[in-house]
Amino acid sequence: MNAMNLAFKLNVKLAWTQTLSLWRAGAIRVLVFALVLAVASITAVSFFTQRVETALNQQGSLLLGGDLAISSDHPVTDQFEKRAETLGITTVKTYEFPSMVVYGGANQLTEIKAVGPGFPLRGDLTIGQEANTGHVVKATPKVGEAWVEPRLAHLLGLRVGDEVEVGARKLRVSAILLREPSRGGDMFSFAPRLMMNAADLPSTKLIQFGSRVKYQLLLASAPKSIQNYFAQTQPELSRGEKIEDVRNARPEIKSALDKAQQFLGLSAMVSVILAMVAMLLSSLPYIKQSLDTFALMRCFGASQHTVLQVLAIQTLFIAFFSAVLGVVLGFCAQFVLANVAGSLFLDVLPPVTAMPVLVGILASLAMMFAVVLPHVWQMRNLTAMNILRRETLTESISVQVKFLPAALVMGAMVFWQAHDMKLALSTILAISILCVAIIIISYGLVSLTNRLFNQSFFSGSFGQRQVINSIKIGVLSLKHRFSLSTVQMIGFSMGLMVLILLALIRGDLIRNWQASLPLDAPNRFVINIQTSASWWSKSFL
Amino acid sequence: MQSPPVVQALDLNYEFVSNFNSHDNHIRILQGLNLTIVAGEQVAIVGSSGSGKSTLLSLLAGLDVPTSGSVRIQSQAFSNLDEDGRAAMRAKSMGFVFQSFQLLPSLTALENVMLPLQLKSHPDAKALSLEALNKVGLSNRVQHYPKQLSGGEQQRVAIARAFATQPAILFADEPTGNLDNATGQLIIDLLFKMNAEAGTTLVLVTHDVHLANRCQRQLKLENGVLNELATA
Ligand SMILES: Nc1ncnc2c1ncn2[C@@H]1O[C@H](COP(=O)(O)OP(=O)(O)OP(=O)(O)O)[C@@H](O)[C@H]1O
Ligand SMILES: [Mg+2]
Repeated sequence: MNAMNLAFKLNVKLAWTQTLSLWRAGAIRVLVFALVLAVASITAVSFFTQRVETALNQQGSLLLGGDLAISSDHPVTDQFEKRAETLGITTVKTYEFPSMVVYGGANQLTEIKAVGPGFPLRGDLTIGQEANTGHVVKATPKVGEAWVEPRLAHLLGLRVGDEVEVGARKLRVSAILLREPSRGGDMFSFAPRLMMNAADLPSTKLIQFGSRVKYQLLLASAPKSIQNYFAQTQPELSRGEKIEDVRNARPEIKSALDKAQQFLGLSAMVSVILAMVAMLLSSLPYIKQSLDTFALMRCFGASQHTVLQVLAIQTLFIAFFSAVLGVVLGFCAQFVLANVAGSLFLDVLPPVTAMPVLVGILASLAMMFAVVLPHVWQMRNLTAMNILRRETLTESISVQVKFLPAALVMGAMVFWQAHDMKLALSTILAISILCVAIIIISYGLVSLTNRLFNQSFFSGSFGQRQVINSIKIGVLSLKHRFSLSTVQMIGFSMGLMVLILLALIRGDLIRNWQASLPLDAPNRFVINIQTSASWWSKSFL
Repeated sequence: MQSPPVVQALDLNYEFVSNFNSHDNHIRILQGLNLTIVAGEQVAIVGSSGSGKSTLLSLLAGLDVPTSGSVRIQSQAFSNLDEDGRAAMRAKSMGFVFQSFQLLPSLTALENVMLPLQLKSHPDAKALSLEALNKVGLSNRVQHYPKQLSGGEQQRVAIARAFATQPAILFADEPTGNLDNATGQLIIDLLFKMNAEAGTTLVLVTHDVHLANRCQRQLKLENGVLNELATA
């Protein structure tokens, strides 16, 4: 145990000095640079979308007046409330229905909302004595009181202190209701709002069989229990009942975010693919030196286990430090993103979360190991002499094995970032077709020129022969380097193709995105997105 | 002989399979070679270029596996060991100087010398390495990378690396191949001092007549077998 610990410590130290030496000798700079850029772009996008999403969720809670709302055209099943109680979830009931409100000789069709104690569970209300000065409260009208919207006060000529009739009940207007976030989507509804205490509801005698009442049970708790509750309750809903969570509280903003996320994700994917190609191309000196080091370590008596452990730790070091650098860069970049694009969604974005850091580190590890793993695989049953004689780098590894992990990681990234099966599949299909085409073309070129020169080699004048000769040498060396140059061609065209693909779908994405925003999107949440969208897309691309 | 054999090769065969024009060509390098070396001996292996000297040395050190036949180091047969077992044997008792030096380009001279000591978690890795570099006359070159060193300097780093671990058996492939007479003499003196003071067994491949003549035994590799030459 102790000896094992000591050996491990030694391996960490060895890996560390070797990583430092590789860096100082310039063997891993391009590799690290590519990795840092990839991680930076992934985390920047991840940080940004995370922030907008958190903001949307918070806004959603305000809009619902809770984290979850069960709405129904009949009284909400008791069992749902009991379940909330056992799970420690706070609840409040509300009732909404249209009714006439009478004041003096005038009457007005009004959207009545009767609320139980504790409303709103999330967010607050703004009330005041007059239409333009208000203060924020987290309270409800008391029994016998009512709060009215300025519009209703205006229409009926009401002032604070007056008494209105709601059904069979008289209520005293105790405040003007200036802001109620939970009105959300009904913002431009036809009838103005009167809010009253639910305890007064029976005495109004307005709720009878056949009345059009929207019953709501609002719930609020920690995300975990809300998720549980949602999962348990959703399948049990009966006709006329629906459950809403913060995600579908503002579907139009949500789908705009989805589109933006898809677009940004694809941009990040381009940089990831380019970075992976760059890494694959620049990894050769690193791999060569690592293999040499490990061959020598074996010559000096290190066990296979030691060698693999040192290589793994060294790979971890490179991946980790690149990830840290990348995350820092990505963190700075997301401020730019948030300033340019974030204000279009919401006024204030919440602070960043730690999740993208994890995402960046994981992506870095995946990319690094995808590059290194094939060579470890190739190394596993070679003698030290094999490696020192370079018998590995030229022969025993097949191109498929070498690039399979990288291809898998790229594929996974595409799926993860595209957020859309169809888009991901078509991207991968296009990339595969491209690779096959390039392999066929370059192979064809090499064998064609080969045959041509073989035939004409002994004919022609001396000068001609010399020219042909030198071309032949070129072709031969091309053939010799066939696999490497093919890989390079595939790499560069792939990066190019993804860029073109992005340019092509860009317009489509932005059109979709614009279409998903409602024309009357309230300014409170989306600042004139129609006009700014074109600016956003211009400045962003 | 009074001492037990430390290096023993029995009926050693080695062939390369080279794939040329899609025909498998078998190139036979060693053909039934036998060799016995006892502790503390100084052995020079000579032979024309391409005769298989380097190949033989890598087989004796267990860096490569023979096509058939066996190698025993300190009575332990390599054929009974796997890669890790052979590596452990090397760590315990062997030092190796490669013909092509095999210094790691990303490590400084000092780091190169320290590597085998670090692998053994030697507490004085740095001090011992500095001392070894000093002995080969490179104390002012410790922080240089191999590409900043001349061929002869690189060779001396490789020798210092093998010295530093104080192995029981030292295999050296052309240890003076790139050195001028004076420096070559310095290295030769060091080798024989190690032999005299620590009883290190020396197995040297060399074209250097002067070096070969100082060894107790000279063996010539010819047609895949070793022939003992009469010593001067
Ligand atoms: N990987 C290999 N594949 C095929 N043949 C090889 C390989 N390595 C060495 N050989 C051949 O084996 C033979 C012996 O090589 P070796 O390096 O042992 O010779 P040497 O005696 O050390 O020569 P020198 O004195 O020039 O160093 C040579 O003919 C060489 O061409
Ligand atoms: Mg040789």
